[in-house]
This record gives sequence, structure tokens and C-alpha cells, in this order.
Amino acid sequence: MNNKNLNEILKHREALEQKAKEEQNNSTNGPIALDDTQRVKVLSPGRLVAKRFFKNKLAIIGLAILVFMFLFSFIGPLFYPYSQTDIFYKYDYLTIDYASAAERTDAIAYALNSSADISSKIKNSLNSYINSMEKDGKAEVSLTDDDGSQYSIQKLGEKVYALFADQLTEVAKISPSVSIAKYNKFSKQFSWSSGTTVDEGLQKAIESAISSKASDFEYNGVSYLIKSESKNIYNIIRNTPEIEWSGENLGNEFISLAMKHQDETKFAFNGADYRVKVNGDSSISVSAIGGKTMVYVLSNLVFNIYDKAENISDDFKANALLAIYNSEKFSYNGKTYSVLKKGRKYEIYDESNTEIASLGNFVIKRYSGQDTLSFDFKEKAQQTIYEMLEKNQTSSKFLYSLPQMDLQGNYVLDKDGNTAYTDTEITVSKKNNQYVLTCEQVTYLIDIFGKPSSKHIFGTDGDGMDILARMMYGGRISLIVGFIVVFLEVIIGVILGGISGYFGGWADTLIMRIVDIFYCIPSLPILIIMGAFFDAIKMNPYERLAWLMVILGILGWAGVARLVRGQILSLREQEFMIAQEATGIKASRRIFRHLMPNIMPQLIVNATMGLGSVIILESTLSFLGLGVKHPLATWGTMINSVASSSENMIKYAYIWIPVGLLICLTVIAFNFVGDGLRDAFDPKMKQ
Amino acid sequence: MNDKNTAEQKNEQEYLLEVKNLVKYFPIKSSFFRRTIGNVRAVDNVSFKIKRGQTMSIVGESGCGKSTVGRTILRLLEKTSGEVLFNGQDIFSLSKKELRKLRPKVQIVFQDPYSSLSPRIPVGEIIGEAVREHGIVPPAEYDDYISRIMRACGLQEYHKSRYPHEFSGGQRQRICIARALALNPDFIVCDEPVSALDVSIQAQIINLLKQLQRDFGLTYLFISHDLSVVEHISDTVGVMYLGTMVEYAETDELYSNPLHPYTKALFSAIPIPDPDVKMNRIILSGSLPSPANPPQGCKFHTRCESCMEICSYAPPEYAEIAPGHYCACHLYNDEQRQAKAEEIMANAKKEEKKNGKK
Repeated sequence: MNNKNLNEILKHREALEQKAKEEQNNSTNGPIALDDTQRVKVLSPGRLVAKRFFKNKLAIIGLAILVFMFLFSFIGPLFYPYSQTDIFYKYDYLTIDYASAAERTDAIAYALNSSADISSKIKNSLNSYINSMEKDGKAEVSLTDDDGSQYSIQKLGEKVYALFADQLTEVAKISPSVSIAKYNKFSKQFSWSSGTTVDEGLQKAIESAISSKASDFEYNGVSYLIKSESKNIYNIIRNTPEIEWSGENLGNEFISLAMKHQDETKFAFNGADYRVKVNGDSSISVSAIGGKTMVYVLSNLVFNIYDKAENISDDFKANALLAIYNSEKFSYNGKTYSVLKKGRKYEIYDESNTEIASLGNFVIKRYSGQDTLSFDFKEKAQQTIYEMLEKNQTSSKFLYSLPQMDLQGNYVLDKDGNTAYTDTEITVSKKNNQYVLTCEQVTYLIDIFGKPSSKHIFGTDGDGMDILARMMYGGRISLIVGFIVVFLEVIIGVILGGISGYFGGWADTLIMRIVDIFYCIPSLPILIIMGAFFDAIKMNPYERLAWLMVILGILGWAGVARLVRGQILSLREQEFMIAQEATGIKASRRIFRHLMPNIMPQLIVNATMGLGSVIILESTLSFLGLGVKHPLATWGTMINSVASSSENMIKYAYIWIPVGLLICLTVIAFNFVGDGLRDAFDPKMKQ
Repeated sequence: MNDKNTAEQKNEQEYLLEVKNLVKYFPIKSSFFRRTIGNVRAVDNVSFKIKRGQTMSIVGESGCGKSTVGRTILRLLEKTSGEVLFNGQDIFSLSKKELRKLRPKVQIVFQDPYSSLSPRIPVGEIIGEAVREHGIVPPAEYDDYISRIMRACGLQEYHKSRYPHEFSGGQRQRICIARALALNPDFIVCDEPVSALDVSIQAQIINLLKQLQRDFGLTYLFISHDLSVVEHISDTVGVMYLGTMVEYAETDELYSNPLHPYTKALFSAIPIPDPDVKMNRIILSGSLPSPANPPQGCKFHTRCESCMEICSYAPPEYAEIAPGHYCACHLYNDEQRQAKAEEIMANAKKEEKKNGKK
């Protein structure tokens, strides 16, 4: 039957063709019918869609914008010299804290006699003694050290104090009984203690004493004890104290007295006072206590030395301080110096009347803590502060020439190639107990909120990063996020919506309930929680971006699923689907050839519009600080960075307006293209 | 033996399609638990045969189950019970693969040419898709074949690349017919193929169908409610009412001598194109009962002019009243059938009394 039918058709067709040929022969050059194939241009469906699309002016504008955005975001960074995380610096005038001045409150001790031996406990508490002294209005205070040493602090004048100590003269040093050696009887070897001189006679005496099992023996008038430590090992101890007299021999009575008063530190002998001091090596020093001597000169005054290279010793300083309230003149190393009071400060001149140092109340340092300021600067600063104190001002100014720097960060040189100096106005202002010296200087700065310039076309942001570069990279992320999220949404939505619509039944019910649940989920709180969680675990920005996309995709598929289900539900019951079934076409082909193309327009429009809204959502999240994090740039974060106040928004309009325009343009472009595609896909649209 | 065989073969050859006691119920599900709470008896015990190369029509009111019969025959819907034999082969016993193989042989043309064409696919593809899928012609001849089919259905070759929406209703119906024809079928169910078209186009389509039948020896099951079209095209006609076949006969016989009161009423509605003729129309009272809850006894008795007592109790038997003329009506009962019906009625009455007493 089959073949017969086909043959018949073929025959029929041949007959028709023959007829047609005959007709053609009959009427050569017959009139061309209106619906002649030749006159009707036939386009393939794809080209038809394209043709329709390209007829839509708005769609073309949208497409052009999108192409621009893609080039801008994906190709742009390849040619743009800066990356999104480059931080830019510049040299610029900045009022910097140049130096600080503070009144020295603590006195500093200058040793007069460098050999003076004063315990650190006393040294460290000198200032507190001085403070209490000043508080009580006393002119002198005495203190006692743990070892019984007597000290006293005397006020010599304002801000100058002196520390006096007992003058000690050592009279004797007593070394008590001490182990001199260990003897091993078995190996017959001595191990001598350090500091003992090896004496062969002594050696023999020990050996003979040990062999006779004596517990003591005498040698050269010194008695020794032998103690058996363990088998064959003997400890030989010198039993008679060894005494070194510094001066005259005061006799054994003196020694026994000293030994007796070891722990009391002090004893009297023949009407004189002696101090006993147990040294580290258990020897005992006995010193005679003489009169008091000045050990330290203490002062709050600050030395400002003219020539720093000249190393001025503590001794010199101490002498200079003493001279203030003494003779105003002192000699040091054979030279005579004079100290003169000038206002609130003192100046030290040498013999040729040149100032070598001055004494003031203030410590003036660079803010970094280094003491690199010149004598002149310190003098001027000090002078200004004194004037301020007199006039009771809180701020003042003085001029001082500082090295000049140009805006490229180089020192300006004069004709001779030396560093040029310019008079710089230095402002001194009082802050708490300190004086801060500020001045405008060329400083190496992060170029934050740089105005648009030839180097940075859109300026720089608050982190000193190039805005144009960040716009490009931000566009990349925004577009990638848009595409991936929409892709995820569409994939999940089409699969679930398709199953739901095509198969119906319990699968439909289940999936639609899931969709309902997803519609109920308040996405913003979830995203806020997510953002907080990611912040808490300090996720890296790239990982965070990936999770953000997944979560946005999962939150957004429900709409697509519902759309697809609705479409499929209505299409499934259309007669053409039944007709296709009747022709025996496979189910998969029915779905992909007949159902899908009918869903595609809605899907594409939905996806394209979705792209726009996802970009907006991503920007919103980033703006709220929940989305993509620094240092990754997105358009949202860029706007966020200047949106802290309306003042900032006005001030930094050159940052957020271009970025906002980009978002706007992209979303509008996606909508235009989406509309254009919908119209193009719809064959029922009037051309 | 031989004689018998040949007779059977003849029978087989003679009847392309045999429908035996076909029943199709649509379950009514409760909305919440999805339990079946009743059935819509769309097709209730329908039997008929169609001879090879002939056209059988099914007529009846809207909602009487004509289209359901058509779709169930093609197994686009699963039957509830009964048998559909196509070329002696039970369609419902086929596996999915076998059914797919059979599909091209049995085609359908739908009522609405607007919705029965996939809107996003060019016409050539609509017609040719299944041809390619089933390998009706070798791939080399495919293009020419589609063109030939299109020409045979009165379409131009350049229509191939056009979309359905670019065509008028008549052309679309031609496309539908071409789609069915391209699969080289033996049997086409025409489910009201012309009712959506205007009259002039109707004639074209009817003529096309007739021509194709002539040329290719097609067999049609023509479903319609337009009696004049049916008279024009069909060899035999079955009249359906509320899911059951009430009368079946050859066209001439039926049109000249309708037996069933419903058929009479139906035919009396055919307009006669002569203003002077006084039409003797039988106006049926009431409306079509619900197929979910059909009346007891004869389904038509609620609206029947000549309703008897027996009609409301016993369903009439679908019997051959005259040679080739089947009818289901108590008016034409022979003694045997009458006795059977009366017995049923008596039982039913008893039952009623019992129930009443209780």
C-alpha cells in the first residue's frame, strides 16, 4: 500500500509537471503572478528574527550600549594601564605635624664623677624624691639605700638639684674561709678553685695530711680544713681569712668587728664610722665613711647644643648646670665657659664668646621622634612658646626656612646645586600640655578623591584607586554576575518548570509548592544574613562573589519556573501538540522542537530583563555592603564609597554620577534588547 | 476452510477500521484529595466499522462525544474499555514503539486550523518533520516530496518557508491536511475540519478531501455537526447522542429514512434553500443532559417526542433494524427485544417500589 501511494504521488507530480511545462510552452513569457517565488524574498527563520530585530531602533541602541559595555568591561582593562587595586600616590602640600615641643618635667641626672656607684633603685626614684621635695617646699631631702648608704638631694636653684652621697674610702678587703681545691685520692689529682695560686708545697702538705687522715693541717701559718666529700674526694678549705689592707693595718680586732657587723653594714671603730659591704664573691669590703660629695647634678633643663657633632659629656653638662647658680662661669678641660641667663633660658658661651648651647624648658623633637632639628629651629620654637606663655596665647606662628620640595617629590636646588630653602610658616599650637608645630610641606600622599585629570580621567576614589579602572573591572563583575545568575535561574527554572508543566500530576503540585515557598522567602533579610555570615567567617572576595551568584540564582528561579510551567501548560493542550503526537514524533522532539521555541521568546525576554534587574540587585547589595567586597570593584560598591552623606555625594559627584550612569545605561540597554528580541521572536508582530 | 479464510480475509480487507463497544470515561476528581468521584461518560459503548476507501461521518450535537471517539481511535486518549481494530490490529494492545510505527497510517485533521499548527515552525518543516522522522521517503527525495504534497493540497512550493500565521484559515487547513497526507496514511480522522471556515472555503476543503480520497484511496472518519456537508462527503453516517451511537446507516438510507426520533429532529433542522417551503421542524425541548449523570433507560427519553414508559427504564438495544441500518430505539423493537426490555423495566419498577417502601 505504502509504496503504491508514494508511486501514485510521484506519477501525479510528473503529470503535473508535464502539464505545467505544456502550459509554459503554451504561454511563453506568461505574466508573473504576484505570489511568484521569485518575487517573494524568503528568509530563514533566524535571519527573519535578526532582520526584525535590526529594524528596531531602540533595540539597536540597546545592543550598541551593551556592546560598548562589554568592550569597556572586558577588553578595556587589557588596554588600560591601571588595575582595579592599584593605589596612586602624589606629592602635595599638606599641613603636617612637623615637630612637637613639651616641657620636660622629669629631671635628668648628669654624673659629675662617672665612677660614682649608686644603686639603680636610687637612680630610678630620684625624680619622685624631687617631686615630693618640690611639693613639700623642702630644700633638701635625705634618703637611705638598702645597703645603708646615705644620700641627700639638695635644691641648688630652680630646676637644678644635686645628689650628694657618702664618700667611702676602702680600708680593707676580707676574704673569708674558702675552698681552694678538690683532691681526688684515687687519681691523685687536684682541681684548683679559680683564683688560687698553685703551690707545690701546699700540694705536698695536703697529700700528706690526707694520707694521715688528718682533718686539718697548717701550712705557712695558714690553717686548712680537709673535708671528705665522697669516697676518695676531699675538699680542701682555707680556714684563715685573707685580709688585704688598703692603708694601714688596723689589726685583727678591727677584722673581727667587721666580720661581726657584716649584716648591720655599719660599725664604729676608734671613733670612726666604717661601712661593711658583702660583695658578690662573698668577700667583705670595709670602708671608712668620710664627708659627703656631690655625685649627680639633676635638672629639668634641656640642653640645646649648637653643634651636634660636638659630643658634650655629662660632666660638662653637670658643670654648666652648677654654674647657673654659682659663679656663672665654669672651667672644663682647661677651658672657661660662661653661663648667662637670657629671659627664661640660659646660654652657654665659650671663651671666644660663641654660643655653644642653650638651656631651655622644652624638648623639641620631630614628630617621628627623631632629634634632627637644628639648634636655630629649636631656639626659635622655644622663643615662640615663651612669647605665647607670656601673652597667654594658644597658638602662634614663626617663620623658618626649610628645604623646598617640588610637586614631583624632588628637593629644589639652587644655582650652586645646593638644596634651596624657603621661609615656611610654622604654626605652634597648644594641645593639652604639648605644643604642636605644624607647617605646610610637600608630602607623599595617597591620592584620595583625586579630581578628574589627564592621568585619572574620572579621578580617584577614597582609597586612591583609579575610578575608570574600577569602573571597567566593576562592569566585568556586574555583567558576569548578571549572566551567571540569570543562567542559573533559567536552567533551574526551565528544568523544574518544564517538568512541572509537561508531566503535571504530583510533580507539578510538589514543584509549584516549592515555588510558592521560594516566593515567600524574603530575599533581602536572607541576603543580609548571608552578608553578615560571610563577613564573620572572613571569606575571600572571590569565593564570596561565587556564593553570592549561587544564592541569587537560587532565590530567583521561582519566577522563571512559574513562567515556563504556565507556558508549557497552555501549549501542551494546544491542538498542534496533539497533532504532533498523532504524527508519531518523539516526545523529546516534541518538547524541544515545538514547546521550547514557543517558550523561548518569553524566556529570552524574561532573561534579558532579568539581567538588568540582577545587575541592579547586585549593585544594591554591594551598595548596602552585603555583596561584593573590597578590593573587588563593582558599580554598587563604588557608589557606596561616596554615599556616606549627602555632602559627600555633592562633593564627589564626579565619582558616582558616571558609575550610576553605567548601571542605568546597562539596565536600560538590556531592557531595550529584551523588548527588541521579544518583538523579533514574535512572528505575529507587524513588521 | 478455504472459503472461510477468504471470507475473513475479505472482511478484513473490506473494513479498515472496526470499533467495538468503545467506552471512554473521563474521571471527575475531587479537588483536594484527587479521588475519583464520578465519570463523564464521553463515549459509552460505541461500535462501528469503516470500509476501506470510504468515508464514515459521525454527527451529533456539541458535547455528544464525537471528537472523543475520533481521538480515542487514534489512541491520543486511552480507552476505558472496548476494542479498536485497525487493519485487524488492536490499537490499544500495541506497545509504544509499535504505536509509533503505526502513527503515520492513522492521521487526524483538527477543527481549528489556527491552533493546530505550531506557530514558530515554518510550514515546510511542519509538514515534513514527521516524514523525516518516520523515513517515509529517502532523504534525497525529501524536498521534492514535500513540494509535491503541498501542490497536491493546493499549496505553493514557496509557502514552505513561511510561518502558519501568514496564511488564511483555508490555507492553514490545507497545511493540516498536507501534514496528515505527507505521512502517507490509510486513514484520516477529520475532526470537524471545516466548521471553523467560511462556506466558500469549506467547499474547497471538502473537495480537496474528496479529491485526495479519490487519488490516494484514503479512508475518512468525518466528524461534523454540519449535516449538509456530511451528506455531501460520506458513504455511511452514524448519529451520536450523549456518548452513544443512536443510529447508523448508509448516507442515502439515513437521509431518506431516518428512524430514531433524535435523527429525525436533527434532520428537520437542515435548512432548505427555498423560502416557500414550510419547514416542519421538530423542536427538542430541554437541553442536553450532563454526560456525567446521563438519564436512566434510553438516554434520549427526556427530550423524546415519542417517549414511552419503557424508555425511562430500559436502555434500547443498538440493533440492525433494516439491512445496514442500525438504530437504538424502543420504537423499532422486535418481540425478542421488547420482551427483554419489559423484563428490565419490571425489575427496575420492583426495585423502585422496594426503595420507596424503605
